[in-house]
Amino acid sequence: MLTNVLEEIYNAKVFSKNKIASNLNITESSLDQMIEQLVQMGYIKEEMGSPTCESKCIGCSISCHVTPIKMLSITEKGKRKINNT
Amino acid sequence: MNTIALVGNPNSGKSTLFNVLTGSNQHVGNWPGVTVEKKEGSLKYNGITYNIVDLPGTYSLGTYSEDEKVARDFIVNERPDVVINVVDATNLERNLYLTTQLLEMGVSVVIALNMMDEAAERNIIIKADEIGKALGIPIIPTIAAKKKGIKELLDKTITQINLKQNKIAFGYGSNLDIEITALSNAIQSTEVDIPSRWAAIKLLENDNDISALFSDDKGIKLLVEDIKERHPDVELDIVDKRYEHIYKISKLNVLNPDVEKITVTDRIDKVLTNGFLGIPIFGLIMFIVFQMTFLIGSKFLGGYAENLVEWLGIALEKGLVAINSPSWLISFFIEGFIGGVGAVVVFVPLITVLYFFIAILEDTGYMSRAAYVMDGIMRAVGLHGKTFISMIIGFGCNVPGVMATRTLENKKDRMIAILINPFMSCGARLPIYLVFIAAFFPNNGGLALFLIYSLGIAVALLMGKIFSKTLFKGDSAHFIMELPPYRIPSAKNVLKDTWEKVWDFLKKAGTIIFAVVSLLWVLSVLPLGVEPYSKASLLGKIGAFIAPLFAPAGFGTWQASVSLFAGLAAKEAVVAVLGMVYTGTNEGAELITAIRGAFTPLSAVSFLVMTLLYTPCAAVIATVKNETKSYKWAAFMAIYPFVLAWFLAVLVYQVGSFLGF
Repeated sequence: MLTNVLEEIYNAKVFSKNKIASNLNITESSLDQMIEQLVQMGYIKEEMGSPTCESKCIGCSISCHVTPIKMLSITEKGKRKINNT
Repeated sequence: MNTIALVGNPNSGKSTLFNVLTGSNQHVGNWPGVTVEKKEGSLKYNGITYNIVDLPGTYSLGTYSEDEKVARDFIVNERPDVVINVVDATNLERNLYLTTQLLEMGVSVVIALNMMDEAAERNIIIKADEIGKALGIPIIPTIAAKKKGIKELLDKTITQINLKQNKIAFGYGSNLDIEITALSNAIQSTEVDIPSRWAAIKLLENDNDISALFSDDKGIKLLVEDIKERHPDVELDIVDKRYEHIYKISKLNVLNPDVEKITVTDRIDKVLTNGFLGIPIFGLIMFIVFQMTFLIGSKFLGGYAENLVEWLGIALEKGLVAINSPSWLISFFIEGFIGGVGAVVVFVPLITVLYFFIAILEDTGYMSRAAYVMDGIMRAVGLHGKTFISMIIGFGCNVPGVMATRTLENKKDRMIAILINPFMSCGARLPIYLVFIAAFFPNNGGLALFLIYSLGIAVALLMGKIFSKTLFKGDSAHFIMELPPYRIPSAKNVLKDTWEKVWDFLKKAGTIIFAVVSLLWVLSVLPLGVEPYSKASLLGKIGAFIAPLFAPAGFGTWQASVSLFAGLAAKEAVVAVLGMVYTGTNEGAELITAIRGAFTPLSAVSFLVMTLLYTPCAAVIATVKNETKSYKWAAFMAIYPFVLAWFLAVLVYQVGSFLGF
């Protein structure tokens, strides 16, 4: 299952939870959990596409982006796993 | 006294069940050494009293969070007589992951299949008995909130107390099972008193806490290393087997007819992220946003701000005259403060409307689509797709835009993203465009603004392409971005976001812009005795010194030059200075009228190109220095946009003049 998720992400152009969950015939909630585990195990890297506002940007007239864009990328470990599957 | 532990995912109804079981016989404290709440109570059932412990809600029994650790340590160390695993019937697949981990621990488990009423409402059909058989444990449907199924659950739980242990009903594949058994046997021969099979699995899952128990045992460590060598992805394989087991069970025994295969989001995305239509639609949306900004912000609301600033200026002047203030003080407040800061503040309605529409787009989830549709272009010009995310942020302010490039792993991608970010027209530059559009293109404001922003993107892409072919060569890494479901924008989010941005804009006008204006006002009245705001003033001399540089671009006046110079501190200062120097020379004249007199439409376009592209403000340069840890790149960031902007501004003016504009 996890390898399938990894492959889906590797082959996807965008990350649509609904689409990947539907392709794998699992619930979105389970997919969330699997992705979290793949991140914890170091197969996927998850990032938010905007800086946190913990440190106020000096001289910045605009507040930080309110809706960060989530991005996923396959790590080297993940790529190795996919290639060995 | 027998102990019954309640374990379950957050929001599975576990605490409701705990309250039903214990009533008022409960007390709340903290687990030792952590801030996690400990809830304990007692239950008297059929004359026997049981100790009930409500363990923290958790999705698994690892060591990633305090909640997980507390729940797991309690089961391993305190050994409850039975565990009631509260499972959310509406989300069975995810909840069963925790169940598989409980089974691995070898504890006696009863499943309370809770929230059955909600599952029924969603037409989810669950074959509870079949699932129980597949897992090898009792499963009792319950509705804790309505106290249904509680007696059956308790009867089964108490029966289960005597069994002490469940039989694990699934394996990890024959090869791995052999390894786990061997390791489990080795653990059994040690003095460590924990469930050996579970400990073996945890050691293979790189569990730090369990590994620490065997840190001095070379035999166990060697065995674990050997297994990992034979199974390099053993951790993933173990987790995978749990999911495989759950998947088989849920596919056979759960019918969920309400799950939408094609959602509304999918249907909308088919159009908005379409390979051919995506970019034109993005352009159209932005064009409509700019048009609406001018329609509402300028035509309906613009007059109020102008009237307010004018009224403030008159009231302030009257007040200062009434208290016999010296003329220099009146000049400072009226020409410096109202003329300068006021020139920026009158554009607040337009800026508010623009931010309002951008906030709506953000809250619907469209902005990530915008990043996605631009991804193809980004890759085509040799840029990493993530670059556009930092560029979108740069539309607000280039400081967080530059900081957002941190998500780019390789230096090549990151450096290009940093170097092109200032071409994204930040909010601070808006007042400049607005004042020139109001002066020369009042009937095509939306289109003019759209073209300015588009030019910024085009130059950024062009420079990205040049940099990726020259300074920073190499391939970009693959990534995907999440497209969250579309949603109706929330009024609260949109208004809050708009207000925060407008408030920050006003704060900056009242602080940095005020400071810049104050300094320039001093320069405009020195040396003493000189006519204020004249070419003979220090400000005039500085401007006149720079002005010849901009003559080929059509705006070689000392006023325009000094405003661009002030813009290095903050871009809003360009308008503030223009407001100050023009109201200073011709008291009472409106800035827009003065601009019409000082620029031609062609030189105005050339000036807009310059302000769009030239050296970013000091805060951005400082951020570039911090992010690249290099003065060299900070200097490059200050110089190359200026050269490029000057070249393009001159090109626009000279070609325009040649063509007779």
